[in-house]
Amino acid sequence: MITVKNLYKTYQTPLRTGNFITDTFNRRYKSHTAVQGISFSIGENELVGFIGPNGAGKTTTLKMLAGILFPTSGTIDILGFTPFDKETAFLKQIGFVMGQKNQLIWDLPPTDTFSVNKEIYEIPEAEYRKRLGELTDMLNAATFLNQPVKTLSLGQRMKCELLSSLLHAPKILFLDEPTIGLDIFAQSSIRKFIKEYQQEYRATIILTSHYMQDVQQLADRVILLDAGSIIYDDTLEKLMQSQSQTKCVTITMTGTNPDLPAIVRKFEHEYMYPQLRVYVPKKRLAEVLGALVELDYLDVTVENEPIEDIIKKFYQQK
Amino acid sequence: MKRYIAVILAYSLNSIKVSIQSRAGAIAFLTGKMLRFGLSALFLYFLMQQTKFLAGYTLEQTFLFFLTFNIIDSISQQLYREVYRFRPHIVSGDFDMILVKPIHPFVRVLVGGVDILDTIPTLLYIGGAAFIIQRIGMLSPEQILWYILLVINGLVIATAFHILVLAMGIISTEVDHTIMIYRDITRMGYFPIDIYEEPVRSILTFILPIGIMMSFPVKALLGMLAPQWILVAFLFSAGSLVISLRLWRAAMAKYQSASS
Amino acid sequence: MRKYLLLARATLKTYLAYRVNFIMWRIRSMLTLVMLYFLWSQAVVGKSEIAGYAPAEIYTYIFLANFLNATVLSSRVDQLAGDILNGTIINHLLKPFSIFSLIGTREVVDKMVNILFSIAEIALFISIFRPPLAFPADPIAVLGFLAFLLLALVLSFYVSFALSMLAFWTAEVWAPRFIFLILISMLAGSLFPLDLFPPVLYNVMLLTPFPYMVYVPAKIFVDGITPQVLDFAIFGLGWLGLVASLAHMSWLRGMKEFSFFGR
Repeated sequence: MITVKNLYKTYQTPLRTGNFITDTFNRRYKSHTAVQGISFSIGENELVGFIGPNGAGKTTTLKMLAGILFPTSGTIDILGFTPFDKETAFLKQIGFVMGQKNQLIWDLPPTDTFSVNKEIYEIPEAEYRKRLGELTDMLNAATFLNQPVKTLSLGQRMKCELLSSLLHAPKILFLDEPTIGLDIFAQSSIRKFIKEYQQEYRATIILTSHYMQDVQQLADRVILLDAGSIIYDDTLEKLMQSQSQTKCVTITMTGTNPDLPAIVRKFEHEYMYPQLRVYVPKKRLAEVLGALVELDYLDVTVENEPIEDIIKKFYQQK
Repeated sequence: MKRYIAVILAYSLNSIKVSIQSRAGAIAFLTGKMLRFGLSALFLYFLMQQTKFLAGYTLEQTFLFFLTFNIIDSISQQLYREVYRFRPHIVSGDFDMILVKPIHPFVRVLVGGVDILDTIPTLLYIGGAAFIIQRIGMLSPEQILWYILLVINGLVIATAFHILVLAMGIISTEVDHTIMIYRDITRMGYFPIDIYEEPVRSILTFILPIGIMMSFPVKALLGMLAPQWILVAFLFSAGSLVISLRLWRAAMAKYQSASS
Repeated sequence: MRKYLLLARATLKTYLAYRVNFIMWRIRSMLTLVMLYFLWSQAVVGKSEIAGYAPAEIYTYIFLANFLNATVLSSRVDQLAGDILNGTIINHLLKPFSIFSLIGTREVVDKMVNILFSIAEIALFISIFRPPLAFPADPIAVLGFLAFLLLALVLSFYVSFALSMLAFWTAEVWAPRFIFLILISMLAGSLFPLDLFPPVLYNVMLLTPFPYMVYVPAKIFVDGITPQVLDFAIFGLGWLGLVASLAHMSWLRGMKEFSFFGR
């Protein structure tokens, strides 16, 4: 469905010297390679998450896949099209939503933007009504579709952005940080929607996000990018298993501030009375727990290491 | 083509809705334009009362120049209003959202904000011009046809100008004002181009083509324009359109390979 | 004093930041001057006078009008409306010196820059085209010109200030400002001497505040002190009093009603 081979993207950014004349007439450039020869393929109905720190090349890759940016070299084949040719038949099959960008008309209710999109994508009236109804229900958006966009909250606006990009039933959906800046409730409802949408409409979805929660809950597969290269491409579970041999034990104590058991000091730990956190290899968990329950405690929990930490460690190893 | 028209209509409908929302602003805008037109016309009338002729033109002829300027200016402003709001799309990156749509970006950034309210002054200017043409009388149908064709020709040059402004908006960040320069320069076409002495006149005719845009139609109507100049006018507009489209394409290539 | 100098320097620096804006405003002014010069040079061809002006007088008038336009009508008071609308005016009010000193200093610097450029442009223009000019025989006319220039400056300041005060009550301040700008551009006299119009219209125009910003000082420079100057003084000062008290009142009222919270 999507095949990417050896994709490169180099940006030329003008160097600003601050001197107006040289900046205008004798501009010097600095080149910066944002994407360095990545290859991957994505099948139908997959939901793939792109992860990476700022500047890793996530958005650049997404924009090249959608035909917005011209690749410096390499090939992209999506449904038999080369995205940059911007054939109508191709653009009609994709949807693009960016968390920080806006396509809705600011002064008018979202429905007015929808009706423009209906004409752009030539959606037949009956199908338009049906899609709009279904998506409105799924997003729980009926109450605010008739308010001017400028009066909507960020979460409501995001829902409308999604709605307006999905009216034409795209086969492939690109989501660039769809939950950025949203509160946790809005984040989780957007997440729920994305999952439902993928299942219901069999769409292929490619997502980037800074929030690991998004990726953890949504993506079947993750692609980790670092400085423009793919450093990992498989399921998130496998990554967790391979990386996470460690459990995190948290104990909240009562009574007086005790001396820590000797065994705790052998492992990485953080202690600030009354809370102690110890990172213990799986094999030695029993030993440590045995020592800890000897203390006066209120509560003990054993958890996997947070996913953010695992990813961070993974990046540090590379 | 049908789809393009449907989309432009949908955008226009939306811009009507926006004007209805800020009614006070829309009315003020219209009132202001009519005031400016009315007062300028009065000034011209009383000036002509004193001078009788301006660069050899009678009162009626001078008014025809003035009205033709207003027709071309008003129609191009009405059609290409969205160009004035283009920079923010680039700065915020919302332009990306326009590029992923399966339709030429001009539909959004050039003619995506047609201002229906401006039809009122436009019709007024056209009516005024028709009235004067009828008063001057004794004009052959060909002369009137040349007039109409050259007005359209002026609009083509205006289109090229606006496309150029869009292209500049992508290439450089320091050109928020290109469109204002354009408006200030065209304003020099308020009066017949003949009031200017050389070399200003030649500069205004050919380099900043105010003469070709605004004065040529009336000159052709009055039978004062040699056929070869009409040909030059058409070649000029075709050339400027081609050049502006080239620049647009170059700007897009730059945007899509260099911006981040 | 030091405070004002620092403020003046900061104002000058913003010119560098917005230099394109400033250059545009000057280019617009020069283009208008070119257009008017040629228009009038055609209008006076073969005539010894037009509407009571000799060619040298009409040229003098339009150069003066261009200068007055740059001096009197350039203003940054309209920024105040934006400051009120987005609430940043609070920052000014919290500073240890009055907002009026800030506005005043900004205006003085702004006008000095504009005067400098305007004089340079006009001098360049005159040296290229060498039109005949008329200077007043009576030095009193120059004094009259300066006195009415001062009146024009203060009047224009208060008009702009009063318009900005609308921002306390409505977000659509630009609409009345737009209409005012058009009225000023046509009726202040920066494009042509208003006595070109027939007496009835001319007298009606003199009842409005606009002619006192450009036409009246220029007219006095060209024509000298005539009995009409008394009328100019009465109406000009009358408008100044009216607009100034309106501006003061709306400032006080607006400050009371302005909610500092939730903006």
